[in-house]
Amino acid sequence: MFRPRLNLLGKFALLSFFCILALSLALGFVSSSLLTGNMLAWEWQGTAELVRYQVRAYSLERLFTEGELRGNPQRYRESLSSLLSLPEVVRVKVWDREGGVIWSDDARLIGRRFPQNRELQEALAGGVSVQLKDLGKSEHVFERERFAKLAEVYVPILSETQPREVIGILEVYKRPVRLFGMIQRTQTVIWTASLAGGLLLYLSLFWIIRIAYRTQLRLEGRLKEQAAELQQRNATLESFIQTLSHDLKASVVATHGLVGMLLETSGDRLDAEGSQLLHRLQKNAEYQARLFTDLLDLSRVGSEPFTLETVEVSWLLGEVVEASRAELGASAPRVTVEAPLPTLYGDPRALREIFRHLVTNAIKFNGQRPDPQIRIAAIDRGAWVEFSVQDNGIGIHPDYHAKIFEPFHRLSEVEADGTGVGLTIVKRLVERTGGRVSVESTPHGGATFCFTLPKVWPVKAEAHA
Amino acid sequence: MPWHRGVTILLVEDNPDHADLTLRALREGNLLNELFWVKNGEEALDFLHRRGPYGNGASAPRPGLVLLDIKLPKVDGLEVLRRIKGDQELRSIPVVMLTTSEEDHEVTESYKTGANSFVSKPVRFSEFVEKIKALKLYWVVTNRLPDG
Repeated sequence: MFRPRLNLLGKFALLSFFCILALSLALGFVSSSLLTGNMLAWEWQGTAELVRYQVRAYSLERLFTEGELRGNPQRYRESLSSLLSLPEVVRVKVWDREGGVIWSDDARLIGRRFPQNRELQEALAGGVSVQLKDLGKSEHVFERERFAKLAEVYVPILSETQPREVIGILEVYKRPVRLFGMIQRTQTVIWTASLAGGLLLYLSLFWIIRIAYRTQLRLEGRLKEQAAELQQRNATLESFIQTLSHDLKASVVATHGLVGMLLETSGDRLDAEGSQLLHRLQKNAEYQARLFTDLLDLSRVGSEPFTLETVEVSWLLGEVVEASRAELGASAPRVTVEAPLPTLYGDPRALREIFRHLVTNAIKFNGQRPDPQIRIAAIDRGAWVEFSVQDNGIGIHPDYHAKIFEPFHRLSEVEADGTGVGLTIVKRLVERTGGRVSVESTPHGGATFCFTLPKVWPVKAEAHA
Repeated sequence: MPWHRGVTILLVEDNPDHADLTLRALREGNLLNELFWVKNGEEALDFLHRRGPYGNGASAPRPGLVLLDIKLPKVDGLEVLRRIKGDQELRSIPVVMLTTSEEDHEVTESYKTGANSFVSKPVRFSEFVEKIKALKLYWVVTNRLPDG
């Protein structure tokens, strides 16, 4: 019935942990890559502008145009000294438009052509392109440096007269130690912040949920306590009613007996009025005794547990009909039991009670017809059986259809025995099995009581309050 | 009829009116033997075991029949029945349970414990007399048979 909610808290803890972790990672990744990308782009753009500024300032266009420089490495070095002195620049390479190396620190490269170089092609199309290189062990010349990265920045140099024309490429090798140091520091900050934020979010969510969960547990506990208390009170009340009814009945039975004895011993000494009064007193006592009997029966219906066994309904019904006839001694009605009747796994005592009250009712309310009839049938409804008890008696006005199932509600127009708990008992018993009871009737048109019962009754049949 | 005498009846009944009615019913049924009336289960057990106020055997003869109300103060009727049927000496005494309300489980429990018969007190006194009469015929006669 009550499942431990730790499951819920555990599920929440796990699910939110992974959600928030994913969120933190995504946040960290997106912001760090965005920032890194921007920083790098900004750096290369700056480098390119610096190079172009140098080119303009020192009129280095001639490196590409003037033929006399070619084959004179020393002149190149002199011309490029301003570029070589830029911060973090370790090397400069000069390309012509055809992908040929005009000049390089490495003299072996001069005059060679690398037209397939992708970055070079991009630069020739007019854009600054960058190739980041991790230095391999063999070329790791800067052992002591923290960042073994080399950026080859290809800067297209545009013609002064025709701004769209690329006249050549200046390739600057940079060791961007500061940049990568900054990037690493930034990433550290970003990752720390997003993970710490995620953790904080997770902890605060967990804290709130735990408060809610604890509150729920407390409320549930209180609810259970209250339910138990209510049940206890109900049981006390029921047992109080039983004790009270029993004692009152014992007392009224004694009264009846004593009046009977009085009538017997001294009846002849009373006048007509006196003995009539005594008879009325007796009649009242009898009615009271029946009232208390009914009250006892009614309270017992709710408190006695079912004892389940296999019940042959046709056999049980035959017994009930016989007993009712004998008890009421009325002009025996014709009882038709329509076969087939089912076999149930239920409480035979309860079933007998149900049928007894319905059959007794049907016999009682026959309205002194010359041909009283009762028809009992059952319809198979899968796991359920629908029974019907039909009579051709005086019937019930639709206004009273709901009221007849209330205890001690007797229709005033009817002069019949009983105090009116029979149908209440039927209703309680049927509902304890999970079934439903209903009535169809019109005045003088007979009445049909229908009720459903499960083929297998529930073991734990809770009494309806 | 010779079996009228000699059979002592012990009536265990807390309600004096009910005791009176039972007494009268016995009388009406021509069954007024020696009758002892005790008001609760404890007294009944004292009587049967001849102890306490019933220490003198003459004041507490062994009854031939016990009429036992099922709801009693102090020791409950069912408990008294259980003690009688659990006692080697007393178990042969026939016990008839009396009850105001006919609760199924009480009837079942009584028979299980060894009650010999069960009479629910009807509202009508005349019905009660009929039931007592029916009892008389059965119990007193069968009780007498072994003695010849």
